[in-house]
Amino acid sequence: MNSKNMEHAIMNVDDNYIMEALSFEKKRNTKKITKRNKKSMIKTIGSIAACAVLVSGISFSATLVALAAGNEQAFDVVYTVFPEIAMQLVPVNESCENNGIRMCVEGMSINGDSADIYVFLQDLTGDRIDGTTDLFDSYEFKTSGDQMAGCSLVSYDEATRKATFLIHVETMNGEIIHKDKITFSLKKFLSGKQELTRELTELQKFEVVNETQKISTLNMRGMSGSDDATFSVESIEDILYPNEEQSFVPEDGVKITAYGFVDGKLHIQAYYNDIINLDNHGWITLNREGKTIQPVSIDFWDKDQIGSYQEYVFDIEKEDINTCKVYGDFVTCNSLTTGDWSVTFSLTDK
Amino acid sequence: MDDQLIVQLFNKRSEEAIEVISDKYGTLCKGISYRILKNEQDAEECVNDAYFALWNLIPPENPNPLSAYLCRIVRNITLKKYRYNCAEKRNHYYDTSLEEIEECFSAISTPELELEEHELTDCINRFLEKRKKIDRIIFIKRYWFCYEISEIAKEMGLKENYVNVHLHRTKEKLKQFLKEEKRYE
Repeated sequence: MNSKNMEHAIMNVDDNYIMEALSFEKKRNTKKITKRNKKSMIKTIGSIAACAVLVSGISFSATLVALAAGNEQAFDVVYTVFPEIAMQLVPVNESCENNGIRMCVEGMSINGDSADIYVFLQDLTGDRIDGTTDLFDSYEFKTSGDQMAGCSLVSYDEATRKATFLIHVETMNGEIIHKDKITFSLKKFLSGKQELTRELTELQKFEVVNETQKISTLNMRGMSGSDDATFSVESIEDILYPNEEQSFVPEDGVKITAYGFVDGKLHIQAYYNDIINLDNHGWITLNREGKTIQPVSIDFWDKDQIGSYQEYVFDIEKEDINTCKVYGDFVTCNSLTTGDWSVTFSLTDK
Repeated sequence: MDDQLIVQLFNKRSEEAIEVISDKYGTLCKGISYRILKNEQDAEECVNDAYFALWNLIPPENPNPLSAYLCRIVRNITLKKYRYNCAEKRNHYYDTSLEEIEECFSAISTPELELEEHELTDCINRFLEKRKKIDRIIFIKRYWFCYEISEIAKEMGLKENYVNVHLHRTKEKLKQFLKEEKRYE
């Protein structure tokens, strides 16, 4: 088999899978949708609902009738972004307030072992919600087993200081999600996030480092491999000590703490401040003649277990480093809001 | 405008069809082309060529869904342009994406196990059908739309590490799936 055959085989995958991926693609265009377009889409949802009622079973029809009968406004944003999901959302409208923040679950749909939850947060007293607000894995949707979830910010309305999210949850073991008693809760969220990508030109003079620390002595947080590397992350035994002379701050919340060659591999160490509360994180790559070289990485805690070091290890020879540029992608945050927001509801009576 | 109405405009040979399809899908099409070519001007040309191809294809074609059909045309034309550009200079970004998935097929790359393209497509379709929706979307975004991992993570509201891990697992499962297919034994 040659790569052309393979390329064509991938190219010809079923339309449904392309359409499925495209439904996420539409998120990017959210802000460009005009009022006129929104109205026409609201009309469309009504007519689609009407058509579907004619051909669907009773329970599905009931959902769509509810949408068509007056809840279009509630879901118009999600409809423009994820139309397939919006079609299935059942209106919930259960809300709570804490610490001057209102959380409202506007709608939800359950499909076997997965669920989509449409929720908004609104700041009733200040400006703690913005277009970068992130629920930071602190939301919880109660099921009995493990689950994986993804959260997308669907829209932010500056006038009402309201951010809406679509959360997709899937149980890991295929457990069916029941509709009778559902609790969705949130403990904290982040805002004021900054994303920065830049070349780290401050990195100069990549020397061989002889004084290193053993990984076995560290409080490890995790490690990740790379398809690019010819070695496994588990094979690394020694990493850098932080070196104040090499340190610099590329972005508030991030510090490059050391770099150099250890055992023939390039190590670059970064420190992310208060990752527990602020989710500061990043990734460093090399770019050599247009090709990105991905590192393996080793993450370990600082002594207070609040901040984290991340050491990026690259498969590059010392004599080749001058042909490379080093890039950092950093995501930092300066505002954490905590509270206790929780709503419990049932979909069986909706 | 609804896709079927756009197709009707093509059928009527109304030039408004190009304007409407450009408004509706221009950003999407340019994104597909740019991710492969990494050149804005080339991407623009490919998208315009795709509109022209669509104009020649409809009628008699009556594509449904129109968006996927248009995306395929854009991708096809873009890959031709890419091959042409490759004669002069390799585009490492697209090659990297291709090489990543190529390794899944390396186990079945012997002459006696050679497959027709459509058989392989059937295999991939069956494989994708069995995956969780989120893994399917990540897979298609990476290998069909040529998104970078960071773009997928941002677009889907996931952590990059999550995307990397799931993509890696999906590739491993694909390798296994291909090996287990009887025809490959």
